[in-house]
Amino acid sequence: MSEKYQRNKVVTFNVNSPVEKFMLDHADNMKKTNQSFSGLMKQLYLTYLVGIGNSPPGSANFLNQHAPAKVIEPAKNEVKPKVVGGVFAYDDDE
Amino acid sequence: MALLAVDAGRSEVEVKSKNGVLRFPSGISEATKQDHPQYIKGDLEIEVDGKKWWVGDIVEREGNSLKVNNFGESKADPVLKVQVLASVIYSGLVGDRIDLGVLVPVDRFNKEERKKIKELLKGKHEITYSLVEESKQVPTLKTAIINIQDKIFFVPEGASAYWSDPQTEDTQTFDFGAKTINLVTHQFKDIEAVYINTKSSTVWYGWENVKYSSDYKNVPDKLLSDEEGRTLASGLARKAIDEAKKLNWSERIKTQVFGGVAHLVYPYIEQAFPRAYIPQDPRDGNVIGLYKKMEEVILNV
Repeated sequence: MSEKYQRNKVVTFNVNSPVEKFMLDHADNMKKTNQSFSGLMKQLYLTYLVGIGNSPPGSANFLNQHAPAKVIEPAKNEVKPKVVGGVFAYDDDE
Repeated sequence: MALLAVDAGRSEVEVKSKNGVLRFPSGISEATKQDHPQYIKGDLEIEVDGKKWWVGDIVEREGNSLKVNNFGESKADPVLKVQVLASVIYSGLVGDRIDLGVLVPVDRFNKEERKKIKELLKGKHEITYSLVEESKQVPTLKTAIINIQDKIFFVPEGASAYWSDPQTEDTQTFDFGAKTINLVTHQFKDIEAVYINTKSSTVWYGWENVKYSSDYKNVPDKLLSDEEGRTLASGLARKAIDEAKKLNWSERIKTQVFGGVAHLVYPYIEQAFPRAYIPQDPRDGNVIGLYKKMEEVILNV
């Protein structure tokens, strides 16, 4: 387990449990793709608090900011493909 | 060498050069003596072939012999020559060798018409002019030789507008003008847009005509109520849609709406052609497309 997880005593994983080992590996994979595992944890905790009727002030904004990562479509290529041809006349001299 | 694209319409002249896009009223007037000259920015007096003309807003203020290009048998009218030379001056291209591009209606895109226009415009034109560059400043009288290259670039109206926003699919283009509606079709193959002559034409009826036939002849556009504008636009759109049906245009094909009244006619066009859209520069589309095509062909850009 990394030093970060040992210092952060909110969530610990039992690497001897196949399920918790899977969760730890998955958390590491989330980090690699720039998704925040700690953000997910905090959101789950807040959702839990809201669920038991103990929502702290500003929790709605927090939940919005830390909504699960969305799949963002790649930006559309604004450079239009070249089109040639058409009708024109430049020199009618025989 | 400088490229100059000129769309000399019935209502206004639109111009594009390396210095940007500009517009001025199409009507010109014989210049006379002014008792109380106001010197408003853009007022231009120009002497061409021994005759003095006013160009710009001064025509409406002071002119009492308005001349317009009636687009009769040909667009090759002396008024066009004054408009083109004025375009060179307004664009700041006096002294450059001009590569000129002009537009003709779809139905006039033929050798005879191009030859007439070429004979009118090509070559060296010795002129004198005075342009008010800042309001209230008395302009200096200048002499210049404007040199227009013998090869003049022509594109049909509407087809030119398409090139301001070319598409990678088949496209139908409406171009609404003051005296005409041009309808143009391009089929897209690989990277090439192919002009389809059998699905392109000109209706000799435009915004001015629908106003005249509805007794709004002398009502400036800005004084029309919203309801009057919608009524006129509906009539104009009907003319365009009727012609499109004759050309077997498809409601499934992407359809562009260009022209100064594009936003007014669009709701009616969209009912017949659900894939209709207004491009970014509907008013200047023709001159922007013409300039782009000139860059591609003449400069290989």
